[in-house]
Amino acid sequence: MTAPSKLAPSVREERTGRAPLLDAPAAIRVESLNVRYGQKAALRDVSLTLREGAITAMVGPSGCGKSSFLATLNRLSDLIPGCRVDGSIRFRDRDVRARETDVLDLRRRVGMIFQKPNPFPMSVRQNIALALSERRRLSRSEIDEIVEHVLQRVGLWDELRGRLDASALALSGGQQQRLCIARALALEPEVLLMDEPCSALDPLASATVEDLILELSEACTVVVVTHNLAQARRISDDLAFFWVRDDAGVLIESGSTRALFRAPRHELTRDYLSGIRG
Amino acid sequence: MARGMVQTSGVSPMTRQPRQRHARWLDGTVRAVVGLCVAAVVGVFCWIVGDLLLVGVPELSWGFLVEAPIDSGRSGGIAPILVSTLAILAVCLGVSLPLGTSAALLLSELAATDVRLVRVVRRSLDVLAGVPSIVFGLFGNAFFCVALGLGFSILSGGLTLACMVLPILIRATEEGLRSVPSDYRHAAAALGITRTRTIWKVLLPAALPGLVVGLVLGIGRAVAETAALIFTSGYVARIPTSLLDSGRSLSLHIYDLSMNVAGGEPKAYASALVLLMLLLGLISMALSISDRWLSRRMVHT
Repeated sequence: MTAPSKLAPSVREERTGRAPLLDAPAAIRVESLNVRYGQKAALRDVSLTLREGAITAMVGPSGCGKSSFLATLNRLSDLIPGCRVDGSIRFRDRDVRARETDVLDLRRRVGMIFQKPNPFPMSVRQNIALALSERRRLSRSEIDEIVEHVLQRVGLWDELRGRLDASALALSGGQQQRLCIARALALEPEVLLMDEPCSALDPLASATVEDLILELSEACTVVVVTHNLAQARRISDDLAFFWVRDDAGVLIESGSTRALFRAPRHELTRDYLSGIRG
Repeated sequence: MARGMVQTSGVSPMTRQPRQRHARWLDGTVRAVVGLCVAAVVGVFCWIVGDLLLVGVPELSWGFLVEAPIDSGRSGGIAPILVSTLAILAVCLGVSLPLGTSAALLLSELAATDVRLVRVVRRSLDVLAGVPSIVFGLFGNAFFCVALGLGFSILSGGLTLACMVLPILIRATEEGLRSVPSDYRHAAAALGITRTRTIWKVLLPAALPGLVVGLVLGIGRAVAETAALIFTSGYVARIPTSLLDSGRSLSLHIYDLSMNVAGGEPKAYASALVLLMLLLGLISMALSISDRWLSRRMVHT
């Protein structure tokens, strides 16, 4: 996945003044991935490399397997009855699909944000502390410190500092989604998978989360599924375009966002990105 | 409703008048029938409670609650019977709550992959829930009293009741767990939280309403039970000194007073009144505990 470096800076570069190294190592390398639900194929022969430190956007019509792809990366697909995964997925030097892989540890390193904000029915503080205190006992003050830190990072601290013990379900949709992101950040993930994180939010909240994604990419590799092409263009370094072929999702094309928007290799990509199809 | 439908449908002016009258007539009749049914239900309830209050209240006193029965219960109180009832209930819930919750967890969370096992367990629970209590009584007598050698005792009675209450408890708790959005399960899994911790910290608390419904139904069935206890806990009206003593439950006392003891009627009414209040007390306690607990997590503050 190399991009011609003489092109004008991408929107993301202009906004943040940063871009991942062109020769950044792979954070996750997927090869010949197939996903089936029972008899139905969801993804066929997908190979994709996610660059370290980059924001990769995954676009394509509904039902083309973007979410299925995401769920295989942290093995959340294990939870879906009848889901079968073939192919190779490597997260740095580990084999994600290997039997001996510590799935819980993997999921702490590869965090996930869902389309619908899903805070637990407990207080804001407990939402963040629940996963934190899983591995080792933390004192109250240690937890408070982390809670403040991650809420600062998602820009919720000033809004919520007096309401840490209030139920997380009382927050607005945008706040809930940012809390979910904070909850994942508390585990200091290396990769963050986001499955349409803005689609259940109003435009203002959506913009806030979008800015947040840009900031997060400083600390971790981000993969974001989105239906919003403008958003993909604004925030992503790399783009992967999925399509449905013979009732199964396939990866049509991937590369740097800038290159794909400017000069797509496939007709389908060109039509989809320009809004003619899809 | 019926009237509104006639007016909005495009009926010609010629036919509208008689139809409308017909609809109005139908409306009135339906309302009358429904009202009558409601009155019948409320009436029966009021009759029972009124009757109980009328005959029972004059017999009620502090002494009735703290004294032992005299002359087969014609006079005196029900203190030993209250103690036995609570002891039997405690054994029953102490055994059935943990068992029921674990079985419900197995059905809804852990056995999701083994569809056949779940189906078999669920089918047998439904059958068990429909078995008449006298059959449980005979089983309890044969198994707990005789085979396990526990004799006529509070332990035997409580365990038999636990068998009876389990199906109700399990199905209600399972429903509660099923109604927990899978979002929570996915969120917990994605955070690398272990299954055990997810169950304890997220799923069970969220399923609490279902658990409480099961508990309330279970308490109701256990406290009201007579037939199953005749053969298992016996009917000795003394204060039990251990769980291996025989003890008479309140409902059994009521049965005995009204069927076997001539002139025991007033005390039977008074005991029934106490039983009713006990049940109300236990149920409102269960509800208020869960309410308080839930409002801490859910209510907007």
